[in-house]
Amino acid sequence: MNRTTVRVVVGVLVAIAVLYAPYYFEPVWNRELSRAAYFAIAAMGLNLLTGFNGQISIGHGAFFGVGAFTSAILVDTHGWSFEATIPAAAVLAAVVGVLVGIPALRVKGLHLALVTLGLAVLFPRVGQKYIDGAGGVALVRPKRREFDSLLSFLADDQWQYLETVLIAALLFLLAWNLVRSRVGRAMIAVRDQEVAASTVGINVARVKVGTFALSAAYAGIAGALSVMIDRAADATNPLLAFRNSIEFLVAVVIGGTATITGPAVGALILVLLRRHTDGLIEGKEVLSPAIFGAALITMIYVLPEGIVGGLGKLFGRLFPARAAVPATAGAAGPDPSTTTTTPTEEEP
Amino acid sequence: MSSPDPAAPTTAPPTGGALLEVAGVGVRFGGVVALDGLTFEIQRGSICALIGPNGAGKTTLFNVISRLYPATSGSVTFDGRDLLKVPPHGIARAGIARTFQNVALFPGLSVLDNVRVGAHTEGRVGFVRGLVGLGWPENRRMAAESMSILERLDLAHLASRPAAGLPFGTLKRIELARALASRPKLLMLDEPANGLTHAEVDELAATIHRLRDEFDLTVLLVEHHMAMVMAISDHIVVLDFGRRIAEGPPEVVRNDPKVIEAYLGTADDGDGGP
Repeated sequence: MNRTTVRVVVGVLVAIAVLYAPYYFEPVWNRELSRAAYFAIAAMGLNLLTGFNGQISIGHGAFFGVGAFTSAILVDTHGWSFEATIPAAAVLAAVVGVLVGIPALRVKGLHLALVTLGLAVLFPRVGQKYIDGAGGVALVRPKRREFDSLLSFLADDQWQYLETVLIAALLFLLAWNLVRSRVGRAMIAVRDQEVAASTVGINVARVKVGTFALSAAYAGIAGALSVMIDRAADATNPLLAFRNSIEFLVAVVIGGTATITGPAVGALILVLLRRHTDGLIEGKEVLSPAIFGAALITMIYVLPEGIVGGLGKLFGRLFPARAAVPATAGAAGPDPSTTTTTPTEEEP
Repeated sequence: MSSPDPAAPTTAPPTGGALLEVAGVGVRFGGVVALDGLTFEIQRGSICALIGPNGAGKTTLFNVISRLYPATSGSVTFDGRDLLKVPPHGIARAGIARTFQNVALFPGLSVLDNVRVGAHTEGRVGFVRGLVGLGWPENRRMAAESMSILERLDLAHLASRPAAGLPFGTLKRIELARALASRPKLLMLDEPANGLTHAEVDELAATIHRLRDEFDLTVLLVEHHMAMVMAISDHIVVLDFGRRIAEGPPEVVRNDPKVIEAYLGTADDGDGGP
């Protein structure tokens, strides 16, 4: 068995499981899994920006919110079909992404984290000021039937799950294409060594702003899909955008920064963990965030490079690449400096 | 990319004439004068060395040519073009590639991908085509070209390794491969022999000569290793305190009393060439 075979087999099994899931699970669980799928899209967006391009953002909850409101408002008050609102949400979020990405060129690392954090904090305020949902609050709830199944053999929850998962799969495929292209290499080059990147002819500003826009578009699409799953775009809670931002980042880190499948794994674990810790101790719900946090800490402690990063390393050792490495070099397996670095912590 | 040879005659006469003209370049950092009216020319196809004691302004000049530092005064003309009007990311496209004193590779990329990034200006796939998966033909072409460069530098067996955790001399060769990938007219090497063993330095000298011929290069190097400088350079420019104190072919520079006083007198390590 070589590594390609293993990958294909694992991929096929995962695909079967993902496609069969909506027939196996109860609607409540399908909803939960759909949540993991849209979460994965937002996390992938953030991963493109932070993992592959080295720009930290704690503001992706805002782009997510932009996408959610774009979709909800277009469906609710302008009579668009939900599917048509998804590209619109992506474009609008990307525009906001460019508006944030350009000034972000001037700041790096922790400063950039703070600037984007401001964005997440600001978003609900802006939303509350300009959005009048039902009852005058910044909450838009499109009617339930807007999201009804369009295929007679699929129940609503199955339809919504499959739609979310297929869009997520498509977006992951696109991201995979991108990071293996000239632009993807440029994104990583800018992350690793900005000065050298510019001397080989990479327009650093363009790559950074472009990645910001793309990343925001992913978050915007995730936001649009969240309207279908959660049936609301919500800016009434001043902390929601902030919490989402943090959770996207958590999903990326526990899944594995700068990996393709990491954000999906991270998002799934995060959503499941949240649900399970919520009702773990009857009557002691106040403790659930602590359990949730402890679980995250444990995970990062055991697999510091994230689940996919850690497993990838293990996989690499079990199935070495066929291009035989000279004996001396082959032994250098666990070299912490060699695998995908997490730039998030090292930027000056 | 293999078809049109970028070094072909169209732009300017391939033989003779200056490829790079540095005229009165001054650089000031606050009150510190790093370069003071520096003037010299590099002839096409030549190997030119920039020498001088530490802090003489050699790397500063590299950074001016790379447009990483702004010049306070003077002009830099490359291939008939005012270089100081070109943005930093346009320098590679203009035909200049460089290496760095302490190696500036991309550790998150494989050795092959580092070289492919070096060929960035040769490609055109942007975000849209990259996303929808139309980057493959270009990817393959770049991989083949980068592979051939790696082979010529005896690095092909490392292609899939990450560009980190390898010996310093190897990293420097990888960086050289990356610089060559953009098919430059001018190759700037910042202390290529620094940190290499004796045997590696001899090999490096031969390599630079060979690459100059194979890739049709003009070479500008900053180097402290006098034996190598004297052996491979056609022309030497000596800097001290940001000023040119001497220039000429190795025989002349070696016997210049000012140079001996400022530099060679203290740095000659006994095997200073034939």
